[in-house]
Amino acid sequence: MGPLTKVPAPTLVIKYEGIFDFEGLYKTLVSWFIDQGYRFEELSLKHKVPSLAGTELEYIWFAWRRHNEYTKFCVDMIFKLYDAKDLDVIKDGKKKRLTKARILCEFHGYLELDYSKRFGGNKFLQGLNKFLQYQILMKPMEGVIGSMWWDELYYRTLKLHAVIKEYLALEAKGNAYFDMW
Amino acid sequence: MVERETVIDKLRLTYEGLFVATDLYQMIDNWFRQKAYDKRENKNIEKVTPDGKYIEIELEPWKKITDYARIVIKIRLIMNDVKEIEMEKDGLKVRMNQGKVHVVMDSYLETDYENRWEGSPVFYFIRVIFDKFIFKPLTGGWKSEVVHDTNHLYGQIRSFLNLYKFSTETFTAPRPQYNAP
Repeated sequence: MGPLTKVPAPTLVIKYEGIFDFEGLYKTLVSWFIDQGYRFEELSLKHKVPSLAGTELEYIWFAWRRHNEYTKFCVDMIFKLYDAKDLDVIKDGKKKRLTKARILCEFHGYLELDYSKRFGGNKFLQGLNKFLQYQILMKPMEGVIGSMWWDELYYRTLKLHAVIKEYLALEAKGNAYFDMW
Repeated sequence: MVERETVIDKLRLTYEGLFVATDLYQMIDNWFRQKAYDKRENKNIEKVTPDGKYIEIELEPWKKITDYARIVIKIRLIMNDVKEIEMEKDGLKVRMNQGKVHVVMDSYLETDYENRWEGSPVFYFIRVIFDKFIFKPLTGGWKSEVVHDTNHLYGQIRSFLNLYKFSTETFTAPRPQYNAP
């Protein structure tokens, strides 16, 4: 078993069907990542030819942030909209464009270890990396390499999850673990 | 591999009437936080249908007991035909939900969740011997904790939904185990 490069956190999923402000949601997500010090990249955007049911859109986003010299927090996000249709709604006397769609939102958070490849050079350095991971970082950290960082990454991703739930005004919103990190 | 033993299997609760969906979710979330569980939200689905909202939430938080064992409570909340209504209570207008709630709870005791004892057949053999003969009183205690936590949460949900008056049954002991002849 060689040194690890990725330590994944559980995937978080939100599915929603209804009317919402997609533009606002997009901006909220991007600003959350920027506020938290992440670099945000939109890896792909697919837009299928609209059918009678509506448009299908797929966004793949990747956000990362250097946590320390050795660890990087990464979040892969897949955001899909099915049967999306724009609607004009009058709210408080103002016309607003909203979207009616089905959403599938998945977050895959993971820790990237030795992201700068400092230990990637020769066999000795790779062995040193393995020793660092399995003998030094693992022991006080309950069996998972880098679990204290993992914990932080996971609870931060949960916060993002809560932000989306709040934005969509889901009934199951709120996060009792808001003060974890 | 992690050994997962089912301690409570499909403990169900059905309710139809008035409730506040957000408060129910937050009560469960807070309960897990207070009992030092780590949060895990597998699913969060919400759909707006003509009959009301359909909400499905699956939580699977876990709590470490030792480096060897941990408790996992899986709770599935399915809410159907959830409508928002306004009520007058003590002269104040209160927003509530009306609909059907179905709760399904499963509890597990997971052992060797760090996969430390699966390296070789000898390790596995030692682990089985320890589990069967040496750790047996300990495992019994852990199972009681699983049962206690699950019942407590179940009671909290029931009291939240004001169902206590309809209930006479209690769950106080783990399921008896039958050895095959």
